[in-house]
Amino acid sequence: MPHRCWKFGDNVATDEILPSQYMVLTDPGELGKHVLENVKPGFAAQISPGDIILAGKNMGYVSSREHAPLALKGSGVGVVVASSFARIFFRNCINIGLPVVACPAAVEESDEGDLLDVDIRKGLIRNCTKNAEFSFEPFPDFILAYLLKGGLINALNEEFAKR
Amino acid sequence: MAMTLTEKILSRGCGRDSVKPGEIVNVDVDRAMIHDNNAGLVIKYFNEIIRPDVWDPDKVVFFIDHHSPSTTPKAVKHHDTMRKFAAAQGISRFYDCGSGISHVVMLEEGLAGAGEIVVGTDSHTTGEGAMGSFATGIGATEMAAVLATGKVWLRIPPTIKIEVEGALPEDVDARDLMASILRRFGPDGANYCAVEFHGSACRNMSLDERTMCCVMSMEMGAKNALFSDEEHAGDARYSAVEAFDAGLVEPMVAVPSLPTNGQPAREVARQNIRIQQAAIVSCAGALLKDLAAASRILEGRKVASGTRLLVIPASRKIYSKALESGYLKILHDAGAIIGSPSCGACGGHDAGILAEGEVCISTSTKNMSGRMGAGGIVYLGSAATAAASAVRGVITDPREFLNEKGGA
Repeated sequence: MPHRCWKFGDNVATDEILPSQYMVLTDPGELGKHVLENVKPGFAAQISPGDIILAGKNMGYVSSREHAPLALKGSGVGVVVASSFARIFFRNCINIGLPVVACPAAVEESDEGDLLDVDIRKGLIRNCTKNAEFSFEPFPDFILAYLLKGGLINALNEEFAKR
Repeated sequence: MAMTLTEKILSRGCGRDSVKPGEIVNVDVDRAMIHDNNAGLVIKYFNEIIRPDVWDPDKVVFFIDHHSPSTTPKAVKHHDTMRKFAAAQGISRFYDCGSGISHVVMLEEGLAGAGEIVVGTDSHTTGEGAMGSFATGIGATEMAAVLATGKVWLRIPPTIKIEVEGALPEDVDARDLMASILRRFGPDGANYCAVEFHGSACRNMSLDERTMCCVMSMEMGAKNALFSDEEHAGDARYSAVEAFDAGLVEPMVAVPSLPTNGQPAREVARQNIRIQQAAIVSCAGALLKDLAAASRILEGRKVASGTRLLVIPASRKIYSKALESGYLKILHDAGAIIGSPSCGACGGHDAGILAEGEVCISTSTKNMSGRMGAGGIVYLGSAATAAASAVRGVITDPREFLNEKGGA
């Protein structure tokens, strides 16, 4: 199902995704109310569930704090597409079950407000506004399981419960 | 095309014949290192997983090296949690207070052998690659999952080959070479990448020197770094090859506030920078060779008035050897404060903390603002540079002392 996208620049820092004064919060929904508020004031209130973030190079750089991906997830963001990611941010997003997709072409050729459909199973991004399609390396099955089940710990617990 | 060393290790780890950069694989972990700075969180997350036991207690190694000996009521609470968890889970590889810094002790104890996959809850876990393992830092949630499953997912990194030919001049330290390498790459020059050290200068390095290079590779963004004595295929697919000439290296000082800000020590020395502290500490700067280099300069000399010299050997074994070889006596007689092995002063949480505006020349890993105390100013250099600076009370090019002693 297509969702609206919101576009950001290069080097969006974890401190910008979630200002550090909110690090005392732990609930994803509470964290989500402050997501990117210094970059785009009032942003959290405009997000509809499933909306997509488009970002430039080195998305999520600086800190290893897991609060930043949790804030994005808690705000309702469904997928983050970027030209490239900072290493630990990329890992943290996957481990909490927030799909992250590196696809520079989709970022360059899409504008804010376009409707995008991201298929994480097939590795396809369709820009429904511009009628364009972009592909990315699909995730291996076990990573897909983390993303679909809400994160690494949830996926593990489901697996262990079956045994 | 042949695989790089990192690709070979990770392909074995995921049970495949080959892997290529960018692929995500799930690998078997050979060794999981957890230290007291993060153990509390790891154990908390582990307890959220519905599985009663650690996958293989023999492959788990606990260290109390960050807050040792128990420095605060909060720290000792974490230590207590670790000791109880280890006892309940049968984790016998428990390196308690005073054993030394994880990265150094893992190598001394043969817990990071060639070809093994090592993960640790510390960014400088790259140091464990010194004997040819794949070693990288991971977060607390991930480590909890590793304890339950023995597996970790990794994206195969591109590999950068660093080729250093020739021999370092006698009065130059391998740390100075590494400062030159860091300067060329910058803080993100090796981001996401594996780093391999090759060339005659690297082949001739001691384990101490290799450990320092692998630890410091993290400061240019490396995911892992390694040395290997194995003959490597010439056509392996490196994403970049950077060549260095060891013969051209001179003493270097990394000025605030990045380890990659290396400048020739002779230029920094000209600025007559007054120091309040010199620190010979950390997994990158308090190995036996560093204590030897400092002793060479400090024998028969005294630390300048108004300057504190702090020496914290990186491990208990290094401490013992430095005791036997007389280095500690020389350093003590020169006026050094000698601490028990720990990470202590490198992170500035419990030893060698600077006052606002104070300047320290340190052999540690990082010199970001606030690293050794709020408002403190940190320059990084070799043990020889730190020792020479301690004698003069200002940042000093160590060749001033070394050449005089060597008769040059």
